[in-house]
Amino acid sequence: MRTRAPLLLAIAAGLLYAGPALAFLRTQTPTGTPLFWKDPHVTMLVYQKGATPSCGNDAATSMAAVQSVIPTWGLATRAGESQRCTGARISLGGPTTSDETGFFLGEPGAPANSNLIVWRTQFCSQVVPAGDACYQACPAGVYCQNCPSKYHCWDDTRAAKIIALTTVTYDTVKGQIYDADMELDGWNGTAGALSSPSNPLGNLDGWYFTCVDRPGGPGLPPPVCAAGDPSPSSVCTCTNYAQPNCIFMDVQNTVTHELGHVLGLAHPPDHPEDTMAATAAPGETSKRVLAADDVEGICSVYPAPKPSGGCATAGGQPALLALLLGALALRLSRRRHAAVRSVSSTRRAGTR
Amino acid sequence: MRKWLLVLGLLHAVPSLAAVALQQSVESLARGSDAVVRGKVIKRAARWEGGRIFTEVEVKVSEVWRGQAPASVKVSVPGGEVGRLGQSVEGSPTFGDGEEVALFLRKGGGPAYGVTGLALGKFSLAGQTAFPRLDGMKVLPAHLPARERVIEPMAIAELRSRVGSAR
Repeated sequence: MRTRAPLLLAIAAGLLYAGPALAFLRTQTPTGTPLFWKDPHVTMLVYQKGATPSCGNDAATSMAAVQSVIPTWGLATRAGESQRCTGARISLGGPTTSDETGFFLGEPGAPANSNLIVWRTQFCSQVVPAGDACYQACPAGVYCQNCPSKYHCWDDTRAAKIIALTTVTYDTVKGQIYDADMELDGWNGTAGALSSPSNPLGNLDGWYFTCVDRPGGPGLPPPVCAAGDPSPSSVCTCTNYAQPNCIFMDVQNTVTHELGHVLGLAHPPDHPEDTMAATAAPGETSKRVLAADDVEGICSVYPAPKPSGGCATAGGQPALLALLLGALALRLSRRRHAAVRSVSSTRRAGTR
Repeated sequence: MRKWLLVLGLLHAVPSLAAVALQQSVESLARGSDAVVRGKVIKRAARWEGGRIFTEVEVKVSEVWRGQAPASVKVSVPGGEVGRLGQSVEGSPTFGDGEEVALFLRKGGGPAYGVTGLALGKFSLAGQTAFPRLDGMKVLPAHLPARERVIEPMAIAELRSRVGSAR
């Protein structure tokens, strides 16, 4: 029995460790260093001008939709517990007139770095003059504007068919996050069908973001609206741009997911119900609410500070326990091998 | 035992990024691209571009499957590392030196091409098979036109055929 102890302990360590590791993933540098905020109190600013014509062409509604999900990650609480389990906080710094995404190093004239949520409502390919310097490499120490910021546009050449993007700037050695910007490829305001024979999967006029609540709370997509219905009597999945009372690219669903990336979380494999899942559907609102894996992820990466001593959380305990069990297994294994070697050498000595 | 513990550690070291896109077919990507090429990565370097890092990848073109393209194309993709700073741009395609690829390209105002749909528009070619790498993409299901399928691994010959037949 004793000889099996290292194997059993190692298996137990693996089982304990594998659980949370599969439930959430962290964004990493190419060399495998996980990204993190040193101070996980992150302030986001919203570029209000771009918030229209989403959400009924009402910037206030769009802002309210974003505002409603900003606290979501910071309120993460494990099932059955009353206290939130994370020290991470995202707060809204209010609207901003700047949509200058990216990270600057104090070049003369450069804006202060801030974490932005920006709607882009026109394509760069349609508004940036050919040969504009904004597409050129920027010399070190010189402030340059990138094309999307200079022309308030979505970089459709290099992000065609994409709905939302989050860019995270980090230290390549430590993995510390310095800045994070979220861009949404918003609708340009042109009326028409969301899908047409000439553009069956396209977004020729940007993506139609909506803010409508689903009756009964967040959930899976409602039925598709009746064709040509300009104002459905009940909430359905939109078929046309500008259609009211329907859901298409839900702002809260999208922003909650992207804020997970802002905090350094990545897609978990095989967990479609999670907010950080790699799949969703137009009309879906269920990812406004964190799933257990999302809670485990944020609370493991940024655990809530303990009132008095100790820093381990439930999310950290399995990993810590796994390490301890692994170390114990290694030690037992070494002892066993040492004992075998000792017996073996004693036998050899005895036979000489 | 040490190897076993090492495996435990590696289980946690799976890189993953993310962008959001609607499901595409090979045909829809081809329709939205100015050119589709097969080639080999011969050079890559990251650079700053107005507060943003882009990685410029040079690909020696061996076959043009759709549209027109020069013998060597420069492709610019969001994200990369310059010195001590890096930018992770979810769902942006990554490239290896000497990698054989098929790329759906979109020409813009800049000197380089973009990849249509970021990671959706890049296939790695190995043997006779083309592999998409969609780890970083959050893909929303969508109804595809008849006879069109989602992006998935397939024979290179099939990929080429589907690109050519896209209307």
